[in-house]
Amino acid sequence: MRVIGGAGGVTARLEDLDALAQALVTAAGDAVALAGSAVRAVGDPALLAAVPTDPSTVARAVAEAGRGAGGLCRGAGVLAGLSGSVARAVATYRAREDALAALARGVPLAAGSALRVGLALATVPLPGAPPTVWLLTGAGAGAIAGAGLGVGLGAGLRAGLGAGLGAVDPGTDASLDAAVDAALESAESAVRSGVEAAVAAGVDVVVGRPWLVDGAVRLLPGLLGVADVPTAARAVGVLGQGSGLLVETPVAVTDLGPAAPCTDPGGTDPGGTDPGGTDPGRAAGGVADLLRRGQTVAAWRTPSPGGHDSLPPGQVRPEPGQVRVDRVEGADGTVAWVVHVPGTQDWDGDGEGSPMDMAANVALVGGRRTAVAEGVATALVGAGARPGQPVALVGHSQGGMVALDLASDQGLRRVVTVTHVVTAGSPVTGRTPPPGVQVLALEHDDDLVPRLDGQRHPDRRDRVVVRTPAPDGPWRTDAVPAHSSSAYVVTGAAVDASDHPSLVAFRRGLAGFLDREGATCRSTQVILERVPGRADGRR
Amino acid sequence: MGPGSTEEVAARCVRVAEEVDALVARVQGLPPSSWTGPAAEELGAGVRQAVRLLDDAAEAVGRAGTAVRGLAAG
Repeated sequence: MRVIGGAGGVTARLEDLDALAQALVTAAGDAVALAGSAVRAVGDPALLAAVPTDPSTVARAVAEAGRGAGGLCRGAGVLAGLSGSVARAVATYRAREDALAALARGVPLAAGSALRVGLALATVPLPGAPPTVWLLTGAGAGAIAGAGLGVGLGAGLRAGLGAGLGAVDPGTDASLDAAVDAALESAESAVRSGVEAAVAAGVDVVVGRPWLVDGAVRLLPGLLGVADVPTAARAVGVLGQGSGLLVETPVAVTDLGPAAPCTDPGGTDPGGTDPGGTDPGRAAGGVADLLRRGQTVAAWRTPSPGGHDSLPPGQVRPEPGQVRVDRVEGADGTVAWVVHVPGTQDWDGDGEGSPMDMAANVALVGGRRTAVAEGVATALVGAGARPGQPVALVGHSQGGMVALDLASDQGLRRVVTVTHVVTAGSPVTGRTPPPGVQVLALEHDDDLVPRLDGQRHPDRRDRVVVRTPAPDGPWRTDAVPAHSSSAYVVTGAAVDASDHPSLVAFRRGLAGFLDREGATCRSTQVILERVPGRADGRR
Repeated sequence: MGPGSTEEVAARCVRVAEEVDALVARVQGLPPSSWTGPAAEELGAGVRQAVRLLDDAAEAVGRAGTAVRGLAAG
């Protein structure tokens, strides 16, 4: 397991490290100068003249001054050594940055080419499907085709690495070697996974598994020839609105019943067996439990023949647009809320049905407020959330993207205080959490989806990224097993057990949302549904 | 610095000790406390070692000054 960012990450900028190296070497010089001053002070003839009258005092004074001078010189040596270490670290980081920047330059080019292939595929109409689905299916196919271009891409990555490595001597810098090896291995793993998926299932994979398109939206800039995702989203939004294909309408919130106790973390009941009863319910025990509970709203998809993300035995299939809101109250009366956000559920964005649709997607990547955020805010207030009470948002795949965007939503932040976001298999690299929000992002090495935004995670104090191979399990029978939410539950358990400082710190911050002595948990399920025919004036 | 009285020598020692104290305060601020992580901790440990050495040095030079002042008083 590799952990990036968080409390155990490197939070200094290279410029700051430069300044530190300079400050350390200056301090070392000053210490040496002061050692000289100490020696000169006791070398004064006036002191030497006192030797005949009080030799022991003079000797003690000289000895102490000498001891001080020696200490100053040793301190100077330590400071100079530290300065050298920091300067070397800066050089290493800079070389690594150069190497990875060379990598990053190659990826968008390959992705853009792949999406153009996808666009060509999209010209083949799917019977009965609206044009938006053609486009998105094509984009998804393009993402798969991008993986199929692995040979060329891999060659590009190697070339980029070679260019970056030109700045250092790889034979003498083990840490840089390791970093570059990890980057190369990771890139190759992603490419290999994508090629296998494409070969195994072809374009059918995309049609049968629309979630593969989740991240393809991130690659729209390459397709549209614009600078970034928000610009692409605005372009698509204008096109979509103008054509009437992507309609962002208001959302109605319907309770599925009174709050019910949250069931045992290992259980499968989404809450509802004991409404109004005396069972206090149990909050999630950790990250794994949070992700497992999220399956109660995210498992909306039709199970694949291989059983991808099929519902656990006995679990009721959730409704489209279903959002789960858990209220966790500690023994001391403090209240925290956990919101489980589903992923994209409606792929035509026609202004009806679930608001987790393409219209919301486009609005989200364009940085605009969506009716989903209003719906979640309404659900939280309806469940009893009050300003100042902390909220954690949890989502798998597109649900993670939505969760992170909701964390930035000003309207939602006026109602509650979002403090934590947990994502699994979500392409969230390019999304920056607002101040005060801690993010945990889980990514499997061979899961293509979180890589589709084509960006590298920055090492940030407020974002902990866990990258690890997908665990073995029954989901291995699926075409793209590494993206399974069940696989991420297993990875969540590894996160719960890890002693990495970043993960320990994140879990400590999450404590108010988790099970503990005397805590209770009650769950509310709501359905968010678009109100047809009332176009949102904000668009 | 030319020759002077033992009082002047004592004053010089005290002045050096004060300057070392000021250096200690400066070094103690390195790296910024907002830096976290294993690398920052390792760096912090090195700085703390340097601070201990400089601190001890300041005390030793201060004691030299005290001894010389006693000589002057005697």
